[in-house]
Amino acid sequence: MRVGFAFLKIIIGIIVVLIIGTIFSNGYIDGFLAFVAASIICTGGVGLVFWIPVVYISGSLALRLFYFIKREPYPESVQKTQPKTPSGPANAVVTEYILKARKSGMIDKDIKTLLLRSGWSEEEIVNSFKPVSL
Amino acid sequence: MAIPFITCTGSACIFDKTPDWFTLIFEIVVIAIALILLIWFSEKDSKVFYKYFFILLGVLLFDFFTHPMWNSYRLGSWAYIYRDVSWILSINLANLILISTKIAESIFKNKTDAIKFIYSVLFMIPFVWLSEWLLITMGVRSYSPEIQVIMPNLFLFKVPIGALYYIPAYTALLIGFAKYWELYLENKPLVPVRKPDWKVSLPISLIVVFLFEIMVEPMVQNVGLPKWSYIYRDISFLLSGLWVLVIWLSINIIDRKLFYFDLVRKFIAYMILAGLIMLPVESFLIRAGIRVYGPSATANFSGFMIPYFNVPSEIAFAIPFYLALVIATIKYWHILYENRKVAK
Repeated sequence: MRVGFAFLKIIIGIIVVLIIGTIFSNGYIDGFLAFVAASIICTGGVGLVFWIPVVYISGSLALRLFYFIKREPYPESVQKTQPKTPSGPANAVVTEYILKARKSGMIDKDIKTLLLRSGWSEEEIVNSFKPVSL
Repeated sequence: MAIPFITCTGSACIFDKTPDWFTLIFEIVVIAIALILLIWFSEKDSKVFYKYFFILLGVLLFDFFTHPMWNSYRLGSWAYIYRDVSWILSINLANLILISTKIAESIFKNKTDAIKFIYSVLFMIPFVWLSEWLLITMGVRSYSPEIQVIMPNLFLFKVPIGALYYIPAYTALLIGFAKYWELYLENKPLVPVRKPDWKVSLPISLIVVFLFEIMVEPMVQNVGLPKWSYIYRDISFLLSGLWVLVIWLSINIIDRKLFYFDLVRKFIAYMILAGLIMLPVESFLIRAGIRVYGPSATANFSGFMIPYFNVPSEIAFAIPFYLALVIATIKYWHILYENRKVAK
């Protein structure tokens, strides 16, 4: 979810930077893109050190503004208040699946059968159920 | 203070951009249809805006690296985002994709996702044909000389009959890209597979890469390879096989080593790994004179070269764009297969 949200920030950031850059380039997006390309390529990629944070911060600010206007809590501030689960990286994806499957009406027994068929070990499945045990 | 910009003065940028009244009406209708569709579908599908965003993103990625194959003129200077890539035509194609997928979903409600996918692609054929006919009639659309050479001299409603291949080939990729991200957006309970079946991802990769290679074949020539390796025009199974191998290996390595990644992180990882392998390979092939880009493609080159690799920046950008569409389509079908197998 956090990576997905970071990805969204980058996408939004690219759009924001493109719009602002085009305005500053007298409406020529071609020119702005050439400028960005030149600043990255002619510096052997070092220019990315500038552009990546600019894009990320622009996306972050735009999303914050969006949630502020919608009067909804910013997703990352909600995530920080949630307790951390003891689930390790190896079974986080399985735990997420368990939650989604339960939400769709599946019972734990069927979920476990499907996970076993998908190649997960008994131990991995048991560990993945722990953080979401009922 | 205005940021200094480099003006494009090449033939790729200087073309007739003056629209007539009919073209202006077409543009207004396209935007109006997009708005109506989004408002209409948002009543039943709260995530339709996000889905539309990914459809449009896929179309733009496709347009960016295939635009030398066709010309889109006379849409007005405001309608272009890069060379003759027009955001209005991208929205038009995104509208058609949204309509065809929604029709397939409603008609084949109880069928599998694979069936819905196939029908979405089939519905796209008449929609895109009609759209192409309209664009040709308006004087907006024409095709590059490389395309005209390979197309048989047969037309249906002014559209070359070769579109019968082109339309399903590229719409399958665009719908595949959109559907992959739909899996993420819809939060469907997809069983995470510990060790995905590599034997299945290989034929899927083979079909997707070859379909796409045949489509973009006019843009680039593969020369100097053994004669027996050419299977269609200048498509060599050695070279296309190499791309299949790189993509298939990248997918399998990530799926096995980073099995705990979610769809987004895996997608980024596939792209990085496959891109890191493809860029130096493409660089070597260009320098060795094996990959020769056609005049329509080179006319669009800005002259910027990627340092160390000596690859035109347009090619370096085209690689991740190409990979994004191809990998998303392969993975979408792979995920469908794995989930169906586990559920049996």
